[in-house]
Amino acid sequence: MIYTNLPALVLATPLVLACLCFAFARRRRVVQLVSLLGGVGWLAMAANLAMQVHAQGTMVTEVGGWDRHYGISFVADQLGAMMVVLAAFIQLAVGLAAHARLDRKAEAFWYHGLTYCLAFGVTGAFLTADLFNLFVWFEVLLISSFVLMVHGGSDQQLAGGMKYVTLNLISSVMFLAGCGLTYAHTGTLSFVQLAQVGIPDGPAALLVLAFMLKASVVPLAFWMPASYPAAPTYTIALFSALLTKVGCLALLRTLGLLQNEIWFTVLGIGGVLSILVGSFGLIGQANLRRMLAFSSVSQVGYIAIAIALQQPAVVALLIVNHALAKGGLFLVAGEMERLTGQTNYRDMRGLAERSPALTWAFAVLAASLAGLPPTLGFFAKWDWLSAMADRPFLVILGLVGSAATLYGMVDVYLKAFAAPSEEPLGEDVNRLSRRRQWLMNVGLGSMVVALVALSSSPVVNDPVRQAGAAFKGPLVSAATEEVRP
Amino acid sequence: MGLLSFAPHFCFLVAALISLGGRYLARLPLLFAVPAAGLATFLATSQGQVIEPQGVPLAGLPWVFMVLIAAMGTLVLVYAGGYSAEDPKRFRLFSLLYAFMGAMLGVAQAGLDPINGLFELFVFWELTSLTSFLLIGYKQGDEAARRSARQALLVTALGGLCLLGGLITYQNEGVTDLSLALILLGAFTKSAQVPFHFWLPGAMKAPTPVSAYLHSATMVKAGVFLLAVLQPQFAVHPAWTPTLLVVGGVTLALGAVALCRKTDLKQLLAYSTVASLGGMVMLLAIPSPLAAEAVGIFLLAHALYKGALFMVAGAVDHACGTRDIHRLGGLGRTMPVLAVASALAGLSMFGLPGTAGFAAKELGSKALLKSQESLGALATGGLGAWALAGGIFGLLALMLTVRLFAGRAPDPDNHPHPVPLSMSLPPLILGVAGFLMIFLASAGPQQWVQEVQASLGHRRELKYGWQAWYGVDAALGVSVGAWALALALFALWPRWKPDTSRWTTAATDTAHKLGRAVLSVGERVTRVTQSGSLTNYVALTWATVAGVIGVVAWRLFAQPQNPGLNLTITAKSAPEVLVLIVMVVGAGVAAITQRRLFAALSIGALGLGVAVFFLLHGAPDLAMTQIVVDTLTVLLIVLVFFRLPRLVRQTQVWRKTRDVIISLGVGASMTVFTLAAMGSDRPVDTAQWVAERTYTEAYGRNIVNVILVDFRGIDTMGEIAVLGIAAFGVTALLRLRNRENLPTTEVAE
Repeated sequence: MIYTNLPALVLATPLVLACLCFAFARRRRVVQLVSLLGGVGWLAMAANLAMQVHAQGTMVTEVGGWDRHYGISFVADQLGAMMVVLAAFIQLAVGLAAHARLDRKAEAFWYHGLTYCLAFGVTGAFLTADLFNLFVWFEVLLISSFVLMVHGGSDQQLAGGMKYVTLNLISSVMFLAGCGLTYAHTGTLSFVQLAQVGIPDGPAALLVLAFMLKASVVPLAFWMPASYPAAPTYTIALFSALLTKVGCLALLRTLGLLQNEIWFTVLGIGGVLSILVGSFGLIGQANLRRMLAFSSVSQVGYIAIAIALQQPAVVALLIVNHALAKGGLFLVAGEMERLTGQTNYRDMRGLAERSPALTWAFAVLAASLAGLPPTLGFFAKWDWLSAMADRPFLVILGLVGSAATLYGMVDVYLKAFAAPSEEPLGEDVNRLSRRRQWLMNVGLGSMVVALVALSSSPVVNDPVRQAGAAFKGPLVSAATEEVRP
Repeated sequence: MGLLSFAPHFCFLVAALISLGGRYLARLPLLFAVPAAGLATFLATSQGQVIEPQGVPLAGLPWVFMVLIAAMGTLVLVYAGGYSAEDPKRFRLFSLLYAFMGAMLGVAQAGLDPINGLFELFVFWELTSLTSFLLIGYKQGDEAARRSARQALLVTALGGLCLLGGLITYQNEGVTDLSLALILLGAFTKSAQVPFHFWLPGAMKAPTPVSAYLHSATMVKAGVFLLAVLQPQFAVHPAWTPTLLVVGGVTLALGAVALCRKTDLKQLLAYSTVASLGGMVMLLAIPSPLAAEAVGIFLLAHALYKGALFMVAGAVDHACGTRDIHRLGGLGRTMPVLAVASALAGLSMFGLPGTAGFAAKELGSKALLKSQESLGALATGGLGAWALAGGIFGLLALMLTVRLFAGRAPDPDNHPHPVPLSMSLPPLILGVAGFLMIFLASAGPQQWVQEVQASLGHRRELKYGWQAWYGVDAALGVSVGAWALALALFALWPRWKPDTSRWTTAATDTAHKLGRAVLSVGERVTRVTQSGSLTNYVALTWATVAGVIGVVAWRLFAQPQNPGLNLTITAKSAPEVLVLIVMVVGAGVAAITQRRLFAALSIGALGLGVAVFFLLHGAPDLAMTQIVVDTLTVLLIVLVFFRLPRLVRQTQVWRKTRDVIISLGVGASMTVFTLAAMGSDRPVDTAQWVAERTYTEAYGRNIVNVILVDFRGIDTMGEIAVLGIAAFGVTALLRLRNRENLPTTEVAE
């Protein structure tokens, strides 16, 4: 364990970038430059943090220099640092795609700055080691995501945003009450201390439910398919890649703090329901966005079960795969809608002819989502099933869920891509300028490339699985050797 | 030595090279077969050498299978060169064929070490599904081709998923009911066993070289191959033998009978392939060295004659423009080489003594006859299916030789194109190879069968091996019966057509019905879970919360020793009780009232009550804050509500009841939690720690202020950020929102 300010620095960067974006909001090029170059810089910092953590061990920032047993601290363990890298990467890649699609007015009203606010909240939630501080980060990302969801202000967005914020506030209420009760019971909010004394059942119930709602575990998941499809695709890409993951990571970190082990089972049951509802939901969809949202519910089910069975390495693989694949697929969905002018994938045709590059992107991302070899998703699925091998019910459930995803992806491929269009190909419906198309290609392309690169990694050096396997629970114990600066 | 493990990757490399630069060599189709030919030679001479990653020697069935894949691949590539002569993009077909060959070689290679190679085996297995999907859908514009590609992919991919589950369960748990069932499902779907057989005839939309390669010689045999390499481990399970025997036997009989009705050459061959695969599965059920011998011989013989016949069918189609057997005939004069090839393969399929097919038929009969002692009626049934299928295979052989090439053409005006040598030579080679198996048996074929025996867990010891004649015994009786049946059926054909449509379409129909049922369940799930009504979502979410915390609270409440729950009311607590009553009334009014204004005011009363509690417990600054916040909130709410219509009266009783129960449940549980927390002894004393340092280290006198700006300053900063973001958000929302499409006033539900 090393005491350093590096985690806090990585956390502060998106806030600084957000402020810069707000300050120069009138000057579009400056904002674009700040958000892109800043994004690259932040990614480099996060990667640096992850490499240092990997080489030297967990890094801790005690905020204000107060002993982390009583004050607030940020802890970058391997998993947390990897999640920050993931967040920074998604931020950059999806940001590029957003640059390609945003109109001037939306850019002028702080879209980029607001995404960095979201990133600020997400990073804080990945790193913090204090229960109430975690609540604060949840609030930051809730308000930023709500604002981003209704950004543009169409009726559809407002209706979706309303559902999103109302249902997520239920989670906030429970989380806050859980924090208060935890403090009343134990006299502390620090993870270090809570790991020793444990959170009793009352607050534990509230916290677990609050996080399950955030992670969109059935039966607390209905906000997601109801609200996500309303927002622009580049916004949903960001949300689906990061927001539910915050809930998942919070569950992974806090379940070990609870006194009673029954909560693992509760989460596991939620995971089973999620896989079932998500799978059946996704094959019933003609709307591409809703289909992808339901598929997220099913994927979260896998993650929830892996958390419940304490398989952090599997959780890490699933999270990274889902973030890249689903984030990328939402971008692809945006392009598919733009090129065909349709939202129902059964009405889209001839995309393979129109855009072979998009077809390849879809094929790679969809294969990884469905877990076909040799993609990252396949390794995740293999590990997941291996961890469940002694539970026949879960094995069969996992196969059913995967079959549904596979069916859905094949259906989209055949109907939207492979089916030749009935009319001869004309001009694209909504052409992007060359510069914008280039930004979109780089953004989407980098997600695909990252996924492909990671797909070969389980064989080579396996950073994701290692980061997950290094996770030792929330217990960043006082007993471990400490190096004070 | 390490070179060997690169056989699959070599194919992928060639595939990549062809897809990049193939267009420049499009005029030299033969060149594309050279790498495959080299690979086949290399593999054939590499027996016994150690494959690096797994450290196992190349031997057994995997070796035979690999040589078969590479050799068949070479011939198919030569043939494809002629078949696709007019296609300017044919290098894509070659590239895909190489990719498929690589995947197939990978499956075979992984079979060398069936314990440690499972992961690899599965990866390549799925790659064969993917590449075959691309190959079947090669003619992308064709709607029917796309549909059958989808069907084949779905069946084999779902089977692949089962296999994945089976392999993982087997790897972790060993041979269990689940691992056996899942692995069998995977193998049966891949090898088109009843009731999953329907995808194979559907896949005949593929180009003929693809059908010859994937759907007769290699891919469909992957399931059989898998069963064979796992047999030594799995045969101990009591369900192994009966399942394989029944499924294989039924597939053999049904596939054979169903083909009688078909007229399309490729459909005929597809159904006969389904039947043959059933036969192999059936022989694998029998745990004897003799049955292993029969499997090896049947596998090779079948690959040779069926591959040749597929190529013949494709060449005939190419030349005459039709594959309908009723419209074809008398082709021998125009296509002599093809006629010879077809005759050689047909003799083998008919099972005349001296052919490879005869050896397969005889050994199968012998193995089944011998197993009657141990397996009884099942083996007898199997033998019946074997004889019946033998007869019908004979009929098919007669159709494809006598009917197709002898006699006269039914349509004298139809002048077939000449067939290029590259299309007639490969089937001829395969046909001749069938005879070489017998007459050069000691030069290799005998040894290959021994290798298959070894993989099935027996000693390398042939009882019969490849022979031209096995003497007169009961097995010969079965063969004679089959010949007689074939001749009789040929005499009756085409008048005699058993109506098998119900059997053959039953599986497809069931699959479609099942698919539709699943889809409708999916649609229902969406309807139920996504009603679109926010009230329903909120109710469902709170109901879940109430359920979970209700149980926890009940368990806490039931603990008599919990000190927090032993409330004692004394005279001292009178003011608190008074405030409490005001708050309860306020909450009640807020819930019941129909006027938004009253609701807001009563919530305000609740907040004031909280402030009084703070005062009573010695926190005047908190009370101040609470009063300010509360007043502002009520004011804002009232200002907003002023513009909204009246609340609509909730009339449905069940909804009211539901809401009351949920609210009371949540409220009661929270009360219990709070009381329980009051009784806690707080193992950690953060308050003390903070109090000690407020003045000495943080240099502040007001402990609350110091907590807000120092000890927990980062929280404060976060909350300020929340407010700032909200401000930006509100401005953006107001400015970006189009003035014209403001919503008409919405009515609360």
